Parts: sequence; structure tokens; C-alpha cells
Amino acid sequence: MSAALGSAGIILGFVASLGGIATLAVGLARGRKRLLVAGRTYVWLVAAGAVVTFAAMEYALLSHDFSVAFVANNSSRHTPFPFNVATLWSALEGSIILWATVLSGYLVVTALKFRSRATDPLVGWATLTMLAVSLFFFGLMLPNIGPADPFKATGFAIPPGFDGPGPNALLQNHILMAFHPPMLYLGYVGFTVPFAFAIAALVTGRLGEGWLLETRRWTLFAWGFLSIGIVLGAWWSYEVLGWGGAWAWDPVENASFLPWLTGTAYLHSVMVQERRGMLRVWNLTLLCATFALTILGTFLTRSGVLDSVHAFTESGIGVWVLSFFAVIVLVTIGLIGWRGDRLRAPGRIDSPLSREGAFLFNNLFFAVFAFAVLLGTVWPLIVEAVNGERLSVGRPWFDFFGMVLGLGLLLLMAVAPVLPWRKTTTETLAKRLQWPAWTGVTAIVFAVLVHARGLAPLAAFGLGGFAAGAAVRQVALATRRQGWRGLVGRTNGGMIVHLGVVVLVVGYIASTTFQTSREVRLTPNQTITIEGHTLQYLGSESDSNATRTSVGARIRVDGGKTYAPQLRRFPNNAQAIGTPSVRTGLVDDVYLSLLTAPDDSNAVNLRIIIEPLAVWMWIGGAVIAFGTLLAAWPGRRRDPTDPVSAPVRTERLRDEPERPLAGVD
Amino acid sequence: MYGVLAVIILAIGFVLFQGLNNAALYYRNADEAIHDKASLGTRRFRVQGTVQRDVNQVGQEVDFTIQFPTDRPASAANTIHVKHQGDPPDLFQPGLPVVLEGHWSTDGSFFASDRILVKHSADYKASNPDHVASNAP
Repeated sequence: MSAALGSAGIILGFVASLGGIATLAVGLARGRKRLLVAGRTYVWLVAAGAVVTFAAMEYALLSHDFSVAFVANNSSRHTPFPFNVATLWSALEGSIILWATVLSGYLVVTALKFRSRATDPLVGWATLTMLAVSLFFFGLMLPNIGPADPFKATGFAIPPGFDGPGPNALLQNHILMAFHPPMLYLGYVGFTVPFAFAIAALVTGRLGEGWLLETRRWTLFAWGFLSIGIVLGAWWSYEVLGWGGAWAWDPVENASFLPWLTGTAYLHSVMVQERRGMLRVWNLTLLCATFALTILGTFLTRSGVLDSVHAFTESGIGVWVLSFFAVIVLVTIGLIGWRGDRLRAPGRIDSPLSREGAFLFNNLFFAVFAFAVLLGTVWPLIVEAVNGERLSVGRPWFDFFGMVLGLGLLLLMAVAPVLPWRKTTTETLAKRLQWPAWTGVTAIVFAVLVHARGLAPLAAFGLGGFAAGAAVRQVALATRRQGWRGLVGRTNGGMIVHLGVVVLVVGYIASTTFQTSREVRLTPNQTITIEGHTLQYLGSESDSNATRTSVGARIRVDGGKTYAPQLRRFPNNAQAIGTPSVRTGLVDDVYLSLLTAPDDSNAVNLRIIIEPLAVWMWIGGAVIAFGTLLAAWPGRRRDPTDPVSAPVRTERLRDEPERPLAGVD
Repeated sequence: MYGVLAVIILAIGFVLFQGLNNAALYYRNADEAIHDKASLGTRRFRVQGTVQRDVNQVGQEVDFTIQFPTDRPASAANTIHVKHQGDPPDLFQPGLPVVLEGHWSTDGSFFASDRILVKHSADYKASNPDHVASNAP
């Protein structure tokens, strides 16, 4: 029953996307306003299709309808409720359902937001572009045609008492799995909205700053969700994988990091265009690249190509997604080339020592970073495709770029916020940087006092303190002038995001560079001391239920609470899954990972990792999310944007606080 | 102007290419690693195989053999003697498919490994019998 309903939902979504595209296309081509209004209503049908599909799959999962192959392959009667719900996005077909559902949600919100302007060709083209993307994702799921048909029948009669294997053991081991993918998808898919408006601006030729202002907040939200999704993914990997790290430059991680890098570059360079009308081609390229990279990420993670380029031809979805990626790239390049003459900038950059100069360096760093990560990720695929040689690009490559460009970006985060637009003198700069520089020096001195050593980490702490000082200075000046409003708006919220980034980077560097890792064999009641922490092995424990059997070791940390790292066995998986237990603290984490099950004398092998400041990575992530919210906070009522390309009036750019404050410094 | 730009881009390209070549680790199955022993020399690479039933831990060194492919009887053509420096990872046991990082010893009699990556048996990626995907260390 749910299969028929779900398939109907997919067909509804596909046909409604097609109908909407056709209606809008005719309306736009002939200039019929009635058709433009009518085309918009198809959005509701697309959303209805997505909701029906999503609900049908959840119903099939929760009612254990094993006649659906996806349920039989990925779910089990014993999977606990929240994990059963999350099973939808734990495998390929379901994750496409999630993508289509999130996209239809964005479609509806866009349609509502621009309801009064449905006859505006810019909005018409943007809606058409989004419907084309939705057509593609519903097409992937089309019953019997698409490569990711989620409601494919199991293909054999279900014997009574049949049970599926349940989701991948790693994925049902931690509740973060219920939140990380939806957040990530809200980010990935969210970039469709600004991309659609960019395409609409190119097609209609309204290439002024209007479309940027329309999509500013959408981009910010997409970026915020992507950031949260990435941090949650890192947290999941830290809590579940047992090696005590949060980031491994795994291709799947890189796939999410690439659009983040270009998206971050865009959020900065777009300000140069709004302010000075420059960098138009570059901004369009960055935005389209960000969207294209989300699709490339889907290709990398979902086609099996990472295992081997030869696996790629076996799974059908790879060809579809790669073709879609090629279409996006070609259409974008073609449109930008076609509109080249209208994209010429009216101004030029006066001095490298200016806000726009700093944004230019920021973009250079982010672009090189993205290129290096992309190259490192796809290089093995290229080499294998060319000469059959299999290789992998290791951490040193990524760590090198991460360190060099990361330090450069921290320096920019310190200097850029105090730079005025157009140009400045070195005296002004020195004056404004005075106390941020002191916070940087204080950070280094403090780090040395607590025995942090090494050139790169100390440089990072110093520059981090410098950047944090600059951010706090900006927010302090703004709140002194405007009260609580000094905390909201793009510039001030952006400074809170900078603080979050600094906190996250410091946490990452401290926990990876200064961690202590030991593997020990403990007999019951034995006590050991590591880095000032006393750990006592109290004894083993075991329990078993329908979903899993687990053995664990009870470890008392610092004479207080007891922690129990475990080894878990799931019925569908012969291999035991380690379940680390972490004592989280503001100063350091005690990360306990059980290596062997208790032997005859109840002795266990345990890995203990002491990770300084690890929790600050997640706190930093939360601050980034909070800062994004502040940045998107609506300020005073803004003017409705002119439908025609017009130079930006200065009163619209009120988030810029330096000018009125020039006398204060 | 364009000439200078072209030279700069070529130079950056060259540096990136060199860097990639240094950062890249070749990847071999156990039988291929034996076949290519001469050309690999003592260059660092990754080798994959399944741990066999002869794991011995001697102090900081773990001695074992890996085999690939495993659907044929063990022979000199598909089995490698490994000496691993350091602690083996979680759940290291016979029958586990692993990817080792290291190099052939100078006389080629064993593989000197210093890093073991364990394949998580089930994950997102499509299964491919030819290739064990490595996961985070």
C-alpha cells in the first residue's frame, strides 16, 4: 500500500515539476502574466508529491513493510523508533527522498515570499530553475525508470517472521545521526535558491545588485545549516568512530567542505559587489560553483566512484548525477559568457589596503583552498581513469593547505574588520589594530604558560586571539552606538560567526596537536594516572537486547562518575562496533575506547586519549549558528528592491559602522 | 602581462603537481604488491589484504601475514609477511580486511608497516570486491 502511495507521490512531484516548467516557460516566452501566476501554483503540487513520498516511506519503515526493498534492506523490527525514522536517510534512495522533500520546502517558502511578485520575470525564471532541479531529483526516483527508485519491490514473497538487517551499525549507534543529515541537506539544498536567482538574473539580463539583495538571507541560512551539518558530522565521527578525531579529510567530508569553502568566499565577496558594484562575474561563478559542488558531492558520495572508478559504471545513479553536474556547469558558463558585456564592473579597487582589498585576498585564499581540496579528492579518480593506477592522497596534502591557508585566513579575520572601504592609511590601521594585537599577544603568552609548544599551533593561537580581538572590538563599538541592535545585522552577526570560527579552530588545533594517547591493559580495580586524570577500572558489564549485545568496561574517572566504553554487536554485522565513552570537560576530554572484550580474568585493553579543549569545537559550532541567526536578523524595514538593475543606494548599507565612527578611533 | 600570468599559473600548476605526487600513496592488493616488488622498491605505498591466523605480538611489533585474493589457496604469490611497528588498531583480529601503509623491506622479505586502516565492513559506499575502501584511521 505504502509503495503504491509513495510511487504516486514521486510521479506527482515529477509531473507537477514538468507542468510548472512548461507553464512558466510559455508564460515567460510570450509574456503572459496569467501563466506566470498559474505556473507558481504547481509548486504546491510538487510539495504535495514530496510530502506523500516522504510520509509513505516513513510509514513503510515504521510499519515494517518488508515488501519494499528499501525497508527490507535497511530496516529491522528491532530498530528503536528514532533510528527507524532516521533510516530514511541512511541509504541512497531514502536520501534522495529527503533531498526532494527539502527542495520542495524551499520551493514553497520561495513562492510564499515572492507571492506578490509572481509576474516578475526574475521570480518566474528563478521558480522555473528550482522546478528544473526538482524535476531532476524526482526523475532519479521514478518507479522502474530512475536509478534510485525507493519503492522497488523486494522481489520475493516475505516469509512470516522475516526481519531485515536494520541500518548500518555505525549509523544506529548515535542519536546525532538523526540530526546531521537533515541539517546538511537544509544547507546543500538551500543553495538552490540563490543559484536559481543567479540564473534568473543572467537570463533576464537584470544583473545589477537586485537579485543579490533578494537572496542574501537565503544564502546566509543555507550557509548556516551547512556549517551546522558539517560540525554535527564531525561530532558524530568523534563520538562514534573511536579514533578520537573529528576530521579525517575523508572524501565524504571533503564533499561537504567544498561548497562550504566557496559559499563562505561568496558571502564575503558579495559585499564588495553590493557596495562597489565590482566582482560580478566572480560572484556569479562562486555561487554557481557552490551549487554545482553540492551536486558533485552527491556524485562523489552516492555513485560508488570513491571505491573505484570501475564501480561507477555499475551503479546507475552516477551517470545521471554527473550529467546533471555537467549541464549546470555548461549552462552557467554559457550564460555568463553570453552576458559578459553587461557584467563589466563600473569601478575598480583603489588600494589593497581597504575592505574590498581584504575581501579579495579572502577570496583568493578560499578559492585556492577549495581547489586544493577538490584536486586532492578527485586526483585518485583521475589517475585511475587515465592509467588504472590506484592511489590515495593522504592527510599531509590537506593538512598543509589547511595550515597555510587557515593561518592566512585568521590573519585576514583580524585585519579586515577594521579596514574601511576604498583606502586607508597605515597609521589608522595601526591605531585600530592596537588592542586586537594585544589580545593576540596575550593568547600566545597564555598558551606558552600552559605549555603549548610548536610554531604553527602558537601562530594559530596568536592569530586567533588577534581575530577574536578584532571581532569583539567591532561588536563593542556597534553596541555602544546602537544598543542591542549592534549585535544584529550582517556585519555584527558576522563578527559573532568569526568568534565561533576562532573558538572552533582553537579547539581543533589543541585537541589534535596536544592530545595524549595511551593504550593500556587493565585488570579489575587497577588504577592508572594519565595527564593528571585518575582512571579506575571497576569491572566489566554486559547486556543484550533484541537490537544488540554489548560488553563494556566500567571506568571511574577522577573518582567521580563512571563511564562505560563498549563493544557492540548488531545482528546484521559480524564485526563488533566500538562505542567510545567520553568524559567531556571544558579543559579536556577523557576519551575512552574499548579495544578488546574482557578476557577470562576480566582484564581489558583500553585506549585512553586526553584531548584538550575538544568540547570547544562544538561550542564554536554553536556560536557560528547563533552568529548566523544574528546576521540574518531583520533590521529596520528595508525598501522593496527595485525590479530593475539600479546602483545600490547608500542608506541600504547601514550595517557598515566604521564611517560614522571615524571620529571615535 | 598575459605572459607573466601564464608563467605564474604554470609555476603554480607545477608545484601542485609535484605536491600531489609526493602526497599520493600508491595502492596495491597483496598479489599486485608481490608482482610489482621490483618496481616499488622501498617506496611507501598502501597494500590491502585479509589478516591470516598467525598474529604474534612481540613487544612493540606485530607479526602477521595478509592474503589477497582470499578465494585461492595461500601461496607466495598472494601472501605477504608483515611486520607492523606500533599497536594494532581496535578489533584487530584474523579474518579482518585491512589496508596497511608502509614499504617493502630492503631485501624484500617482509612488508614494514606502521599504519593499519581497518575497513568498516558496511558503509555507505557500493561494495566492490576489487577494492577495500579505507576509512578514518
